[in-house]
Amino acid sequence: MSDIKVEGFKSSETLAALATVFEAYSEDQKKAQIKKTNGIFELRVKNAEGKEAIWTIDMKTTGSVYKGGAKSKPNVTILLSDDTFQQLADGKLDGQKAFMTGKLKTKGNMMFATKLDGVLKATKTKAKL
Amino acid sequence: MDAVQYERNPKFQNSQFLGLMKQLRDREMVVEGDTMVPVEEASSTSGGWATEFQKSATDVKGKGRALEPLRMTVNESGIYSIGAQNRPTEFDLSGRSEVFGPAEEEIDAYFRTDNDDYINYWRGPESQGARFQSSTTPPAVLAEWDKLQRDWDIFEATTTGIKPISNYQFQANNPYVLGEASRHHNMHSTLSAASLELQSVLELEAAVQRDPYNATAWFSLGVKQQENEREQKALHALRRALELDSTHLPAWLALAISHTNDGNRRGSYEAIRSWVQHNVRYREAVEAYRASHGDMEDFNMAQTGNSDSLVECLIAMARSDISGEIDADIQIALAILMNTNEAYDKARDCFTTALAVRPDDWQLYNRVGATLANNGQSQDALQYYYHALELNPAYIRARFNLGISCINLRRYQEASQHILDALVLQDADVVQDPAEDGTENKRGVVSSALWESLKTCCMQMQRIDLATICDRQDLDAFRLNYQIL
Repeated sequence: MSDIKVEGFKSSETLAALATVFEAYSEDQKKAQIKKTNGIFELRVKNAEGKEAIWTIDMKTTGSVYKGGAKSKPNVTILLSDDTFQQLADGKLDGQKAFMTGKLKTKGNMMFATKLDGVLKATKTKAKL
Repeated sequence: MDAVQYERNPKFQNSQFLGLMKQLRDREMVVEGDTMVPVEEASSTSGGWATEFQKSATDVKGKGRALEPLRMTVNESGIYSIGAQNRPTEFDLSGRSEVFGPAEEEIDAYFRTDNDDYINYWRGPESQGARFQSSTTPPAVLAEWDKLQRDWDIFEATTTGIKPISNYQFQANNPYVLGEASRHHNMHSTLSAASLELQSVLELEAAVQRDPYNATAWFSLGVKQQENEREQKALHALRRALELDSTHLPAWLALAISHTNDGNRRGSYEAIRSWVQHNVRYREAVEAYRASHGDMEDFNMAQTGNSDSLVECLIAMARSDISGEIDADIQIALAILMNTNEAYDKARDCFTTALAVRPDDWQLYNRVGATLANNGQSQDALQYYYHALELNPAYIRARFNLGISCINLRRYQEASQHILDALVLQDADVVQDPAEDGTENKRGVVSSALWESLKTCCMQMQRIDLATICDRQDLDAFRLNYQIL
């Protein structure tokens, strides 16, 4: 898990949390999530100091998160800042808005990028009224 | 007759029978085709009749009728025996009556009645057969049918299709069902409304079991199950309450909340709509709204996917109240709709407005908190959860929500403590039965969602040992290991 983390990136915490959530998934849950998303996201996150870190969320074959570029061709590569990713993960910003305002750039299947919201949300338990 | 034409057998050609047949043809007797044809030896239709006769002979019901004519054929002379076997009674008549004139009439009449008989007979078996079957079906088959019926009973045909009926599953061996405890309960319920609210789930279940047609009892049970983080049970109880009394307004609202938590948009929309329709206090406002905006049925959220018109109707209801007081229920209804539409900011406003009128409602505090948390404002949500828990320390849902928010804020240690507390409280509702293992009872009482969240927490804290205990859902083991942190 710790191998996901990169110094100086807030996003790494979130992604590490995401990884543990996927690890905790049962086979059925994993399958359902993979079926729903069916694709690979490559995240290129830039922090305030201008450093770049790359993570991959594989929701096509393994259902896992790992550091570094996608091992097989990603459906979409998302370029964004550390802060933007943090806001996305917290649900304070939605992906489409971020894209419209230029905070988020994509390479590849843009439509598929909208599914990132779903993946980030799926890992959060909803509070009940 | 055409088929018989080519028959070369002189004996047959000259036979009285054929003469009769010719007569019949000339007079164009109205007889069903089948009954005349069977004369020739190799005709396929005669085979058909033969099988039909066989069938009737084997059929217990038809036995008497079918065998009688067959027996008569034995007495006939050889030449005609084939025809006779196929259609014995007709032949009988023709053979005996040498004088054709009056005989024709007789035959006419006979054929007619005979035909009718047969028509009736073959039409009959449907109903006769059914009666026959039901009286003599072996028990195994009956059991099979019973099973099918039972299976069917589980489902309920509704306008939206067939869906399973879900009945509320009571816990077995509930100590409060016993007489002594019920006295205790009655004493309690007369004390005050507040003590009624603080009753345990088991007490409420017992109350419902004692008086299963009391909608209010079902409603209290449903709300209590909501508070205790058991959505499915709450849903069942609330539905039952509304089956008994569809005008119970708080139950509609509670049902809407349960549906929202389940992610069932349609369900919560329908519940709110029913709440509006059954609300006597605002009948005038609703009717005025309907008159200006078309009928309620036109809301049709199913097609459009939005509930705007219902929201507007609710706002119109709120405005119609000129007393200057805020009706918290309308605000709650609005907030639920906003929540389902993920308009969390508006939802929070509505809930806080309701909170202004009911400052002691711990459910409302939790709802504000949950709305904030779902909107990504976990930090702000915390204080509302704390307040809800101050008002009702046994409020499991708020405790669990608090845990979720802590997870989102990555305060895993704190989160695990809260979720563990929630689990302990839920576990307290399990009937302790030393004779049994208790696992059967536990199912549905302790919700697996809590265990899963706890497991996520443990993974985050790098406590794989605790995570595996979560998989087993072993509360005692977890507490033991948790202390040795």
